Amino acid sequence: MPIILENVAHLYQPGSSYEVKALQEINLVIKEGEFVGLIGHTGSGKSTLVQHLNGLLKPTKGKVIVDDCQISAKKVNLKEIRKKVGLVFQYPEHQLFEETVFEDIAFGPKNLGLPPEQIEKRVKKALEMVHLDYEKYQAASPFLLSGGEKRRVAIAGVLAMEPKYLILDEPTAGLDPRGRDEILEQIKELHQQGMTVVLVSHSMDDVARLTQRLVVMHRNTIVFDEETRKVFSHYESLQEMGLDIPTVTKLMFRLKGKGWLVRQDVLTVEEAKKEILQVLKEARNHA
Amino acid sequence: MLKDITIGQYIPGVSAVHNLDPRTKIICLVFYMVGLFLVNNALGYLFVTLFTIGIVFLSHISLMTILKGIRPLMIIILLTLSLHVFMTEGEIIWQWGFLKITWQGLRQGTFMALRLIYLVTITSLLTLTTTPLALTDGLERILKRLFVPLAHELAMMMTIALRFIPTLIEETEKIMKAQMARGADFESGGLLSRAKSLIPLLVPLFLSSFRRADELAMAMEARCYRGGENRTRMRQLVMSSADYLAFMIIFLFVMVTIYSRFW
Amino acid sequence: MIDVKNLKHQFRNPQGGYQEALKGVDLQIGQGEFVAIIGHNGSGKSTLAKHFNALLLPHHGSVTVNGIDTRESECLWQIRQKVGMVFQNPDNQLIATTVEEDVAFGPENLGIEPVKIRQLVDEALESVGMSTYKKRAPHLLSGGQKQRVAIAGVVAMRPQVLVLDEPTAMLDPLGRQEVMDTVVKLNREEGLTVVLITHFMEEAVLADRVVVMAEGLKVMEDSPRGIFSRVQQLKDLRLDVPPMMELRDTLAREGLDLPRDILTVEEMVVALCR
Repeated sequence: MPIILENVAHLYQPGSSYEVKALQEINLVIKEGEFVGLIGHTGSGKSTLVQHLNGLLKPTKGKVIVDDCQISAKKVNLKEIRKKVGLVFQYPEHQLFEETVFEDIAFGPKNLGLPPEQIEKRVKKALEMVHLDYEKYQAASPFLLSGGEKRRVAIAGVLAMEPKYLILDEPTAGLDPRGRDEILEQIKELHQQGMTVVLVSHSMDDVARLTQRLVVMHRNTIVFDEETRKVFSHYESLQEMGLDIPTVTKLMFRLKGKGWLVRQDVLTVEEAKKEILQVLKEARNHA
Repeated sequence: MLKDITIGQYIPGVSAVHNLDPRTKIICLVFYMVGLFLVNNALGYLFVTLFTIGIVFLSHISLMTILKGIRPLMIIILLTLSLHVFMTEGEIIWQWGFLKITWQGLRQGTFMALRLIYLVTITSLLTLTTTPLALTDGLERILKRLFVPLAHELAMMMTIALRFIPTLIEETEKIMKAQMARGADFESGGLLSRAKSLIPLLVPLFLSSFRRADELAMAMEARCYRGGENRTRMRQLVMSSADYLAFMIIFLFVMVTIYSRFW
Repeated sequence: MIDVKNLKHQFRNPQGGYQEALKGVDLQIGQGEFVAIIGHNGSGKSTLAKHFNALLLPHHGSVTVNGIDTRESECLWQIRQKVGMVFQNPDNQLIATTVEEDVAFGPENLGIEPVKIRQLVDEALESVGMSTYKKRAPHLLSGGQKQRVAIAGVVAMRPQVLVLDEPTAMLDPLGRQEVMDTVVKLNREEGLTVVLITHFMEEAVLADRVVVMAEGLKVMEDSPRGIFSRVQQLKDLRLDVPPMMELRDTLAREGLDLPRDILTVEEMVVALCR
């Protein structure tokens, strides 16, 4: 069952002279099993949008429907929604507070009222999903871990809620290339294991690598919502919005400008190599 | 209603009061309070009332703002009023059962209520017309003159605290949302369970505050901070003739209030 | 300018025992240079940076700034005036309630006369492009703006060296651009020696010289092109390689003859169209 946003708008202090349009005319459907990227510069409304997906914010206008359950309805059980839609904020390690890794990851399941045996199962599974050895880490203090480990424990804390949808807001923020690659690998795995993933990011390269579909936000509304490759073909529009495209894609555009018959929807170095070699081979054949 | 509390907020403006040296304002506030506690009769209170209105007028702060600042304290004011009205002994005006209102009670009650109101008003006026920066500056220099130990450090603590209040509020919100996303509930339940539910909020906040203090200290040291010794200030506070005039006025005010006790 | 000789430094592990953060580093930073130090987290780059202004002292070896050994405690403040440092977290460096007050903090600590401080503050804010934000409260600024104010706060002390410890790690792309533009400008136009600790290669390529750290040691040192053309070595160190370098590398392995130091898209286009 999908998450549906229908004509959603969000205003801060509506009706007053301080009224701020945080979101306008958002229409979005996220189907199960997708890997969607959400990009846009700071202030475009990404964070506000994402907080509507698990009921942290309610729309001023329009409807948000998660698994057939409308969030703005009166009797809605928000805990149910947050069970299904997991949200990992930026720098999630800042939310760690318990004495042991086990206790911290168990916080979510405890809030759901699960019995101890269930909780233990979930903690074990969550640690596994983030590639941290249960025996080694469960009794450790979260605060003595390295930055990357802390982040993984924090993510495990959300995974322990066993969400169907996982939204990650800049999960690689502040990490070095190695840490970034590790986290992205794990997210990719989670998607392959059936999780629906929404990845909010500033990094065009990250998003190009992982997502099938890309939603671009600008000035509080959605401007593009297509297959990732197609989105990057709107090079000029993206530039005007202050966004960039992967370096290799840029190269293809420039080569096309020089008369090369290359595909422009190239996203990785591998793909670029193939295209270039192909064209050169054709040229040689013609010569 | 939290945002209606005027003590602590600053409203930029141009007025005789805005332009005074912060030290003048702080010292005058202290003397005003002395005078306010000295008056004890109707004529005296009338004088104080007129004086207070005059100051508010001079500051160009709207009456609306002042009244909004008093609103959150209405309960305390009414409580004070009632306590004095019903508890003071004396000439009985009205009685119902064991509840009695005396002439003295009414008088005392009104006076006390007025005292509270004027106290809040003039204190608010201090912060409404003085930037937090100027306030801590003024306080620091006054404390130094009074040879209060660690005057500079106290003032630095205040400045840093003021600077980080908005940042801390933002951070609290972020942590709250992150925990709510994990099913935390800060709203329902009895007093005890709500207190317990604050742990996932307070622990991360404390931790980040400690980390912040550490990083801040390092950044300050990197900029050669070593306490108040031999430090200069870019912003100089200079007393002008308006400040000396203000001192004279407040001096006269206190004299009159002392004298009013004999009216 | 800064001379590091056989520098070693250890940290005590919270779980007990010691961890060698720096295992014997030699490095020279010359006046007016722009040096980038890259390496993954834990390579010792931040630890190294903190030795430049005596926030950390060597356990072995030495660090001298303009001939002064950082261990000479009487010269501590002199060193810190000459070598200014900007840190990663934009918020945790700004202490005052307005921008200009914060920039004045450094000069005030140095006991400079008020009128001169005013001048230094105005000039510093001008050089980072934040003059119009003089009276703004810090919490209302974006990350990039906060970092520029932090830089101004250091520049106002008229240092000779500006050390930046991962200044853009917590910023969005726009903020990163703002900060890097400012840093490059300070180096090129005002002759400020710059040492940039970063893991973003797009930033390292702007430097005159790149130093690569790994496991507490300096493992490579060369011009940006020299460093980034060593694709395999960088990958082994789990560091990012500029995409054009990587492309060049993989095309070369397929037999294509391309120059070794292709860094930008333009250069690749030119090389391929030959």
